[in-house]
Amino acid sequence: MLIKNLYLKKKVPILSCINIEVPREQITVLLGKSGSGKTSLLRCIAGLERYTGEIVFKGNVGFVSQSYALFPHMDALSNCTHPLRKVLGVAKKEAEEKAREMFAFLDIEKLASAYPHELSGGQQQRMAIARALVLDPHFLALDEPTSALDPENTERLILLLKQLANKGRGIILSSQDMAFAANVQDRAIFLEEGRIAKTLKR
Amino acid sequence: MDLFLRSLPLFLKGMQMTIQVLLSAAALSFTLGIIFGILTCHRLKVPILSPVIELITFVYRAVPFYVQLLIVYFVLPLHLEPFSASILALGMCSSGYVAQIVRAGINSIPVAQWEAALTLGYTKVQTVQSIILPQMVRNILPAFNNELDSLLKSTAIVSSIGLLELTRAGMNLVSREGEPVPIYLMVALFYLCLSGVLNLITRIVERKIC
Repeated sequence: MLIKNLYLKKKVPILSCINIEVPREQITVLLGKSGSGKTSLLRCIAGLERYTGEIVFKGNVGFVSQSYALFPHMDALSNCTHPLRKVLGVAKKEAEEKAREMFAFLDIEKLASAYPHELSGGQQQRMAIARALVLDPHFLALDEPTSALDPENTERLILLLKQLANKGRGIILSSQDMAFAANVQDRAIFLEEGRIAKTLKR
Repeated sequence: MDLFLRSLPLFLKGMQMTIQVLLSAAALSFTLGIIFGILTCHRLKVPILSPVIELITFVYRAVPFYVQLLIVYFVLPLHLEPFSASILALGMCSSGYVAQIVRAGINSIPVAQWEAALTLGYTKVQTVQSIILPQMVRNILPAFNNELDSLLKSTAIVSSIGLLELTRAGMNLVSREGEPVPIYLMVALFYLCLSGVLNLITRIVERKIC
C-alpha cells in the first residue's frame, strides 16, 4: 500500500504531506501524542475520510476502530458471521466455523452467544478484532488495538498479528503502548501535528 | 340495557369498518412513511427525489387531516368511494408523521455503526436493511404505537364523508333513538376498548422486539 501526498483538512489541517508505504508481510506502527493524526490516518486508509492525495493498494482493508462499533442487535457470533455471509456470501456453517476458530484464538469462544452490551471493554475489543479478521483482509488497520487488553491478551494479539504478517498481510496500527509497539513493529512512524516526524525500521 | 342491545348490531358494523379503515390506512401510512423516512435521512439523501419527498411530507403534516380528506374525496378527479378515499387520505396524512419518526430514528443511530458496516464491505442497501433498520425499530416502536393510536382517533373524522364507521354509527343511532347522551358515551366506550386492545398488542410486540 502506497500513501502519496496525503492531506486531510477539516476546520484545521489534520494531516499534511503524508508519504508512506505500508508493505505486506510487515507491521507498521503509528506513534505520536494524542491529536497527532494517527486515528485520522487510519480512517483515511479505511476509506472513512475525504482526503486529497492518493492511497494505492490491491485487495481490501479491514479496520478496527477505537470504539469497536459492534452491532448491538446481534450476538457475538452473528457480529462475525453476518458480514462473512452478507458481504462474501459464505455459507452459514462455514462462516460459523471460521468465526469460532478466530474466537478460540482470541480466547473469546465462550462468549459466542453474548450480546455486545454484556461484554467487558477488552472482550468487545477482541470481538471487534475477530470481526475484522474473519474477512481475511489484505491490509488491516487497527486503532489502538491494545487499549483495553490485559498483558496476556496483548501477547496473543502480537502473536496473531505476526502470523498474519507472515501470511502476507500488511498491518498498520496506532498505539500509545510503547512496549507493545516495540515488540510488534517492523517499522515505526512517528507523527507530530499531522506530519511524519521520524520513521524507524527494525 | 334495551337501548344497548338495540344499538349493538349497528355499533358492531361501525366498529368493523373502523378496524378495516385503521388497518388499511396503517399499512399504507407505514409503507409510505418508512420509504419517505429512509430517503430523507441525512446519510441517504437522493438529489431531487429527497427534497420532493420532504415537500410532500411537509404538506401532509401542515394541512389538517379533515381538509385533506375533503380534497381527496371532492377535489381530486379520482371518483373514489368513501372507503377508498378515507384510506388514501388517512394513509397519506399519517405517512408524513411516520416519515419524521423514521428519519429521526435513522439519524439517531451512531455514525460508528455506518462506518463499521462500510469498512466491513456492506453496500448501502445491506447497511440500512441489516444494521440500521433493526436497531432503529427498537428506538422508534413507542412512537410508532403512538401514531397508530392517533390514526385510530382520526378514523372518526371520515364519518363526515358518509362512511359508516363507529362515529357515524353513533350519529345514525342518535337520529333513530333520540338519546344522544348514552349513545355518545357508548361510542366513547367502544373507542376506549379498541384503543385498549391496540395498546395491548403493541405492548406485546414491543416486549418481544426490545
